[in-house]
Amino acid sequence: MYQNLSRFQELPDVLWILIFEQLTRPQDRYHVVQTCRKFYFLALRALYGELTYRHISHFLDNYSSFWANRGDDMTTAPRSVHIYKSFMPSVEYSSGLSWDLPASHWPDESTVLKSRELPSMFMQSLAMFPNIRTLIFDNVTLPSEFYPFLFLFPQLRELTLLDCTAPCLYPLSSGESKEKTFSFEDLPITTLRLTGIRRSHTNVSTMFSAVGSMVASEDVDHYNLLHLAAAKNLHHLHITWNIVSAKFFGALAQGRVVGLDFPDDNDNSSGHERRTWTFPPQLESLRLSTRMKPDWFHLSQTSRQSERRNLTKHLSFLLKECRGTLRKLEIEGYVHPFWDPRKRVTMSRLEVYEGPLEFLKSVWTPKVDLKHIRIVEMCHSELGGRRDGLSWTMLRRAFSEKRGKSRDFVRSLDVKILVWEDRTLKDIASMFEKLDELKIEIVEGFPDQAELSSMAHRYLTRLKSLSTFELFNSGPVPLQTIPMPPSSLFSFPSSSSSSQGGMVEDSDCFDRAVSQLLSAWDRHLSHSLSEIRLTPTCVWRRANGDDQWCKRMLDLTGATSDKKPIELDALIPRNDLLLSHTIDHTHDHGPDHATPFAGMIMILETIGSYSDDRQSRANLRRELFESEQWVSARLMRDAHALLARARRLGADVGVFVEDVD
Amino acid sequence: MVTLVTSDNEKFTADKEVAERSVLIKNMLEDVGESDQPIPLPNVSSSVLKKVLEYCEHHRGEPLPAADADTTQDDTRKRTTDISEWDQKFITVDQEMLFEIILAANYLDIKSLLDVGCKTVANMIKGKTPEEIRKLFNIVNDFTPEEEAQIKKENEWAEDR
Repeated sequence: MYQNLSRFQELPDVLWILIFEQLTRPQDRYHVVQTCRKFYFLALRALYGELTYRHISHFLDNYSSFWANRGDDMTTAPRSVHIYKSFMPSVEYSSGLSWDLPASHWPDESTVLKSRELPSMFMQSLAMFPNIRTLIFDNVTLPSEFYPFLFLFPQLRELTLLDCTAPCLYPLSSGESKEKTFSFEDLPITTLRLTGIRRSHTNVSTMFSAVGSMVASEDVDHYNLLHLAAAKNLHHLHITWNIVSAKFFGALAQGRVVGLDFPDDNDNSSGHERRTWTFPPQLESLRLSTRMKPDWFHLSQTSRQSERRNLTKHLSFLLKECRGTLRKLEIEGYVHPFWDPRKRVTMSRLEVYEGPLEFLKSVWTPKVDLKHIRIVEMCHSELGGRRDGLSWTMLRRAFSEKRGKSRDFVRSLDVKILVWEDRTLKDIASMFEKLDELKIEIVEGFPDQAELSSMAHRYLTRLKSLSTFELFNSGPVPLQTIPMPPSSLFSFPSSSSSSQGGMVEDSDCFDRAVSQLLSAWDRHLSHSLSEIRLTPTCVWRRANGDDQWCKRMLDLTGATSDKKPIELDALIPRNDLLLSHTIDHTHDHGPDHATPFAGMIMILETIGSYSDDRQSRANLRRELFESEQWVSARLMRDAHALLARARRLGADVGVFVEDVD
Repeated sequence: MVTLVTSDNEKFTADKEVAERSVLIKNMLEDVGESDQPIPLPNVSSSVLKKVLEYCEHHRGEPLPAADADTTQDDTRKRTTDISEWDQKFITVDQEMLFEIILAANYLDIKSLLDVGCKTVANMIKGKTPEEIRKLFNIVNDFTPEEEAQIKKENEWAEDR
């Protein structure tokens, strides 16, 4: 755009600083610093605001030549530090590394490098930055000094540990007990992310606390690390939800995590009070990353059942403990619904739910006025956890169930549906009148021209406070369904000199079609509607009702994956895949109904335990599962016949197929 | 309606809601109270004020950023490094006008416009080598070769690789 901005030489320094702060990549800030002396001084604080260390040699160079003997206040600049996996060198490389630092800092280089732990000297030196608010450790091995290290940052608010190996705490020898006592309650963090934690090779660690049977767990290191969540100012927590964390948080919520602190030698008070760790009292948002639904079938039947029971039990304890404070619950993966009424929790302040549909029923209860609902069903983890779709029929059933809950508070709804159904918008407009944000992603199909044209005056006009409306097919843009402008417009020569002339023309043509559609919609749309998205790649925006709609591209970097989902259709035709399984039922209603056949396991289950007609469902289930037909369903053909029969009986039947091999 | 007088003595009238997107004007109006007195803007020329009012008119009704920047705002800023298409068209002006708009947005205290201006310049810097940045702003490299080497050594961490 601009070849020459020499006029900017007269720009006041304070505005230069604002410009440099807009540069998001450290590399760009670095290039500015290299330009001239003036820019060096103006951009240096912006550059050092966010430190990212990808290699220890970079840190060593930076430490010895930039930070050592520094007289100014530059150490107050860094606010975040991000350490990457590549930080620790491979053993071969490390022999050539020059440690340009006092030898006393490095107790035993070879040990440190062999274990690939972050060196304690590195951790100590970060403490020279008093304003660190954010620490991110990405795929590194944390040393045992990690725990005391965290207490060196009075301003620390966000701590993120992604795929890290937990610190290993060696058993105490007498005399050093005191330093193993940490008051994690006093950590000033408000946000904690602990996901994908791995344990170190050794199992000799000592434990911070005990929870009944967990005294001698092999996951001691992971278990210890979870104690960080006891920080009393914690507002946001994101954890991997598995057996270790479930047991820990379940016990923490019940006040059953008992400290194993060793008594202070100088403490003369008689008897040592057993210290109990308490749950953070102000937790507002909780995100659980857990096993995806299909991955449950990789477990054996026995461990599946016992894990399900344990995870459900502890989740109930955890949610009960934060029911008075939790505003946002996000579940990335699958958690089993609380079928048992005693496990159900009324989280009276809950406003945001993001997660699988089945669990929604467990949290959206009377007295819970959800404002934002985003249904996220995840595919196989091997596919990078892509968001999967559901049939509208299934979503509608879950949303329309009465059970005392109120839909009047719902302000935003975000769903991904498998196949476009004509009734979708009609249903939504009548169920959720107060919506200000509606997002519908469609896997297959798109409204036809007639539906699109009439959509605004039939349905959107009923959503009076709608400000954002998304309706798009996540696949290639279904050009043919957007009403096209008169053919004369097609002959417009493309103004672009791009070599992809054809594509540009198509996209121009599409834009014109959308513009026409929007102007036809305009008089039916509420003034509050300011954003419409009809394709995955761009949105149309306007500032207010009198404004023109303007196209705006979306930055989807990293949001899409090229990986294709496993085509279950190849195993069973799509129309037989209406619904998915409910593992709970398999467990809760008697014997294991899964029968291996033709190299697969097939689980057939009716959905929803709160049907109006429970008796007929129960009968159907009995008929299906006790029938000879099921046991002998060794051919796909038989399975199809069974499904067809089930549907004739009026049931929604789900199939889950897994290749045993 | 509010009357604004530019440095070249031209008068502009604008809806109060539009003019008040400038925190400076908003504060002035609050100080003055109900009055028809024109507001002098000695640091803004008519051609620049015309552009600024066009921006404010377009964004009328949008929420103003909170006065005190906290972490949540930092996050929002990070997420919205892109500029909307309308803003992009709006800010496609010659360098003199871009420069003047940034100065005016700063003076009038219109944070969103200042951001658009700064982002536009930042986007010009993005992806450029130090030499290309010098060329862009017509800057002379006043580092000694030793200083250059030193800067490279101590800041290698910032190279994205």
